[in-house]
Amino acid sequence: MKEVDILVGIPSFNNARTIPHVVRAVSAGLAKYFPKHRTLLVNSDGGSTDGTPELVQKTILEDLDILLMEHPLYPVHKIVTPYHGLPGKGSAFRTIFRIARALNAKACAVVDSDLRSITPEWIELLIEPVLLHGYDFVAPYYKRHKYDGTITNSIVYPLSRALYGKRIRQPIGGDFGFSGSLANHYLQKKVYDTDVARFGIDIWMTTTAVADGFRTCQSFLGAKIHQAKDPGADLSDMLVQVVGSVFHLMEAYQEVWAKVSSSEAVKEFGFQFEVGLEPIHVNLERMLDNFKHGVTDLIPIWQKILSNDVLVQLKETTALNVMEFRFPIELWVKIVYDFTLAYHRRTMSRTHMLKSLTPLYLGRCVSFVNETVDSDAEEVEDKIEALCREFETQKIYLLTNWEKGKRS
Amino acid sequence: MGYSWSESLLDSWNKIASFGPDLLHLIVMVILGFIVAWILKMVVRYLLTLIRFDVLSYRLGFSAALAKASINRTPTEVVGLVIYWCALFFFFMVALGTLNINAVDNLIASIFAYIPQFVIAVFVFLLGYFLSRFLSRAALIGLVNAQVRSARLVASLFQILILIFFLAMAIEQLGIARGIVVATFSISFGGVVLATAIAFGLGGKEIAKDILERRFKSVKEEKAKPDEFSHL
Repeated sequence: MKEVDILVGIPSFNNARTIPHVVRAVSAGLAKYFPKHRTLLVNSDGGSTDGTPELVQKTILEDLDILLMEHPLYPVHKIVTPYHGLPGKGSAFRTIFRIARALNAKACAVVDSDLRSITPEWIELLIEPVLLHGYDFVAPYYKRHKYDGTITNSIVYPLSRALYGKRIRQPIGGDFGFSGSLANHYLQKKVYDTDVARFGIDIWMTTTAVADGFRTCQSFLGAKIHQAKDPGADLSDMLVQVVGSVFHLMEAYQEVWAKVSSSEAVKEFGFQFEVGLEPIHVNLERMLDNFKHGVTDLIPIWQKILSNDVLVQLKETTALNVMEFRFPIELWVKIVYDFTLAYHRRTMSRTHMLKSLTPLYLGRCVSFVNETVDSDAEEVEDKIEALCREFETQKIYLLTNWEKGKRS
Repeated sequence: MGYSWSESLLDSWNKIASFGPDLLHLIVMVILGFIVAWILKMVVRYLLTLIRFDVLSYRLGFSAALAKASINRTPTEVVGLVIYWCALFFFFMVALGTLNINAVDNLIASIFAYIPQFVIAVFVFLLGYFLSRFLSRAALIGLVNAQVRSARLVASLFQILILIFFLAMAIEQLGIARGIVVATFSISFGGVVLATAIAFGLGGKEIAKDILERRFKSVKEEKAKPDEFSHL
């Protein structure tokens, strides 16, 4: 095999329960929607011990006639390979990018191996904008439960949108389409020994595509239902890796985001529809307890990051009980911007600083749940939209203070 | 009685005359010391300003340490002053050496021999100070995120223990009453650990209960009703 037209990568680590479904959906999507193209499925595995690579090898499509309009000209080839480097999704992606470059792939996609809701249509929606419409980067757009993806909704989406001016709703969605040239561009970057190699890869891919001027769009994929994350995955570690990656990219792309003053919608593909999502259980008491605990004990640390008026407002909120607790969006946006500034100025160890954001983030989550307890999906989107606008309004605060700290 | 008063006077004069150049050397060296020390201070200050040493000190907590010690100078000024006095001390020692007095020479030799130990001791103590701050902050954030009560108290105790450890190492390096320092450190360290254990078990039994409950109950509870909040 010297060349392929389409490559779909699946990073994995101990996903034996879900990966057969993902492989079947990808294979069906390639066979059904791209029957005349040379296609390849790459599984980049991080050393699974539950037989994940073997399952990928074994999984085949059955009942082709139910799915297919016409028989494919080429079979879907598979490569199952371990990746090298730091353990994490980013290193798995690097292997996928390398194979894409070696085989001169025209269009690529990556999908998570823990997906339960992936269908063959996802492959069409992630690949077609690249192959037929000349886009370089396709972000996913899902319907998710209103309390799902809270780091995305409260920090990453509004902040990325305010910074780079593109309304990409799920910048850390995890399932992307991209062109061969963008894969090659990703490989040129020397980031694979940082947090990008772990949880940070998704936001890095999106930001790099947007900030480096590649044509971007998003495709509506329907519901995103995936296997619950490893409970051992610590929230503060997630924040360090994801939010740290956003902040780190701000250093690299300062010239780009400093010139952006508003945001614009990106082209959307896919037929939008409402999906039913199962209710999820949230322990508000515990989250609020964590927030209050932070306000009691972490003030000496936050004093180096946050302004005095923010600290005063934080202390005031601790008097509220769980039902009446509110964390105003103006306060939250100011806090996030203060953290970006502190990160930029290296006020203290960046890891410590980002980990100390955890109680504040949980406080904002409690408030968001309270604000949207009776809201439907549309009303929740309105709330998120209001938060995004607040990030855009307060961006001037970030800009005016960005250089100040460096001079002091 | 052949030794007349005039000879005695001449002898004294000769001694003073031979000591005169040495004394002049000493005065010149001290004056030179003041000038060189001042120049060094200014150069060091300029270089530290260039590398934004004050900002770095703020991040490392050095500025806070100075404020706590009621030193109303910037870290750059403090380092400049330290360099100034060190240079002056060095020149003064060299100047004393020009007098060619055996007792003074021996004293200078022993002082110079002691300097490396002193520098190492200061370095060990500073390292311990910064390490204790860094680790106690990491512990505090980790404990708060793990929702451990009295996180601040535990983090402070942790910092004190590290400081005591490094202080003992620094004093040991200086060679001051080695046996007593080691014994004192062992007793103090053991005492602190024992006191912490007793306090934790008796005075802080609520905290202990809280931590143990969280440790074991949370696993049970979370298994029974997992939090489905997906952050990413």
